[in-house]
Amino acid sequence: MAVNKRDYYDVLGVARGASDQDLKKAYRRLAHQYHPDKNQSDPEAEEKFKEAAEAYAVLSNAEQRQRYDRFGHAGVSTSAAGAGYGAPGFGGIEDILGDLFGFGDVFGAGGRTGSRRSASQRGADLRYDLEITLEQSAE
Amino acid sequence: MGKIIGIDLGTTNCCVAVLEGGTVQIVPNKEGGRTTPSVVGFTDKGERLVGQIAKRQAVTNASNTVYAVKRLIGRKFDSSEAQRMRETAPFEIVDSQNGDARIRVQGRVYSPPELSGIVLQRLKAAAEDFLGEAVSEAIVTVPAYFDDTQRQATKDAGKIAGLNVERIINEPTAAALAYGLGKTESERIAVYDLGGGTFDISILEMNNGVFEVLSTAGNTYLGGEDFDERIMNWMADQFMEDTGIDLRKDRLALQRLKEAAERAKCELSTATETSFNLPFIAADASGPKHLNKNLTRTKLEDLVNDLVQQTIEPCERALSDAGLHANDIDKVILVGGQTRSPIVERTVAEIFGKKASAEINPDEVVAMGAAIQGGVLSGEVKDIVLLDVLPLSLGLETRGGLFTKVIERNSTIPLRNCLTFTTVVDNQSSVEIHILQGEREISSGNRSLGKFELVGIPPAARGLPQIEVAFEVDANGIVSVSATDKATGREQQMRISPTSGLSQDEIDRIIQEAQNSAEADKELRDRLDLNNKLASLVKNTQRAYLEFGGLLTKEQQETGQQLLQHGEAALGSTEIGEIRIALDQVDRLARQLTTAMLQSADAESKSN
Repeated sequence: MAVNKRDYYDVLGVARGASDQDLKKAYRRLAHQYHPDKNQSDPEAEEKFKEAAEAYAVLSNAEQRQRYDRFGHAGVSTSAAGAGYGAPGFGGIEDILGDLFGFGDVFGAGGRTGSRRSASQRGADLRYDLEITLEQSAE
Repeated sequence: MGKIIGIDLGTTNCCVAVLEGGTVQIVPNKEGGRTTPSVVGFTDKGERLVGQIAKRQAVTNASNTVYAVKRLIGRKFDSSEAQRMRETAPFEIVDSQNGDARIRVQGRVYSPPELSGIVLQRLKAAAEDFLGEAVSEAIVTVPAYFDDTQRQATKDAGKIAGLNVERIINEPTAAALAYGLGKTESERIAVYDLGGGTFDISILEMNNGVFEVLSTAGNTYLGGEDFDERIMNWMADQFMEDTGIDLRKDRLALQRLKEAAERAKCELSTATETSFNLPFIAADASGPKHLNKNLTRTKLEDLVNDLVQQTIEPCERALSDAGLHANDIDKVILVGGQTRSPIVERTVAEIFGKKASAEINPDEVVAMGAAIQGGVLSGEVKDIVLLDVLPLSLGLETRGGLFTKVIERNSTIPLRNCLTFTTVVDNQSSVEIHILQGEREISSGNRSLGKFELVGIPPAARGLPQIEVAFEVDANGIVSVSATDKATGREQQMRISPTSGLSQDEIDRIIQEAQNSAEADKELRDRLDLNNKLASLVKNTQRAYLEFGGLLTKEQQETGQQLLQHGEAALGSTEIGEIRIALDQVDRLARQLTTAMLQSADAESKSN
């Protein structure tokens, strides 16, 4: 799920310590550049815009940014996480299989996808990306 | 690419704008108006009237005159909205095979997109006359709070009118574009849009040409029409008290009440009192009854107060979704005719703690914004980009009828989000997925967009197949779904059965019919134009003949009289050819008269 996803800071082209104002500026610049309205014949631009919008959505939210900084893509629930395994509905055979449905709790909570995962699922890789200054490293 | 026109397809009025040489111009309609009533009338002669003329004949042709179709577009017959409209609408609202609300006029059933299409067709023709070139592309606006089905249906209406809807944009966003064009300072604005049928509130941030919608909320069944209805009911109640007659049972009376209510409402925006005077509105054994009443602004505000109060909660929700407080808002913009009511102005000032900006025209600003967006798409406007949001969360039905959100409301569009599905029994070959839109925790409380079945999953042990389902929302706010089998990388087959709307076949059929009637409309228009020409030519020639006919030869006089009689007889003919011939003949007589007059004047000056 989180494979091949670019780092959100890279997407926006800002440093990890970027201020909210910097993020906003970078996002606006990319929006001007890649929004599909301005690149109607270029489907790649739309993908780039979506990537930038996703990155900005996460990083402009203090709580999500913190989670992203600590856990990477796996830490944020926006598009990356998915619903975990378990099909939410089954045409026709649902009744018979009701009891076999082992993942009800994933959805039953009614919360955001990926926030509660069933035990059988592999845990997220932990990743710490830290940027520290020379002074900090010497402390 | 030709011009992309901007169309505000309103519940009660429409407005068209185009970008010409860097400035936005409102396109006047045939009758010269800057807005066109969203009314379609069907006469007993089989003619279709649109706009002001349709509205004018509504009183005498109530059951065949359709208005406020936007309140039905993309809605089910069973929905509370359609049922509420049935109570007061003088035309017939009926059920259909897939449960969508439709309208029956003169025995034929029309879908709401078809009726909106008729209006759009007329607006398109007006724009073509104005620009002097064919128009095939348009930006059409919708209430921000319209769901996917309502957006799709609006797009279908465009198709039916022969318009390529390049983009559906949200009305408040369009208003913000028109307001902010050319402004460079950074501002947070709230757009409060109370139109004929819908209410929207959007919070935006503008900065350096980026118009970013932070949040939006609203109510797609709250607007000026409801204000009118309150006044109508009040009048009917008063009349009932006085006479014991219920005017609500009489379609014609109802239509007259509606007109009077609308007029009174507008007057009370500036005056503090107005009067109704509806003679012969009903009759009983004792004779005809008249309705004469006074309505004060205070009483009106009493009648509609709860409607205005209903706009407060969405405003608060939008602010909170944007993570802002009322005092973070720099400017408040009012859109929609209903915001002219003092009670609305006061309420908005209370919500945001400041008076609304009076810089813009609430009736035209949406169409202007749409035209600007047209300019952005055609490349004519370079320094603006609009970042809009998905108004309602998107998700699917999960076990126990619960609703699981996949994409949260107010996410910036376009966007894409993926979910991975698998099977729960060995060799399971299909999975059904039910897609919904809304904010309720329970599926049945939300709007069903469609069901699809993942089929042809290769046989495997349960839990092994990984099918990635991608939910995609385009810049119009319209949703599409696709699936890939992650094991094989193959596009997964899907069967989608939309729960609403018109099928491609239906749309094609309607387009064909619309084209036919466009031809009929054009012929009718040409005929009326020629007829008017003939009428004035006959009148002028008659006058000239009376005065100067004596100058003609005897023979000329005889045929001249005949020609004039023919000309008069041809007036109002349904045969365009007949009118054309008469026009030619009378024209010839007119020339003879002029020549004779000139000759006699010549002779006179010589003899002098």
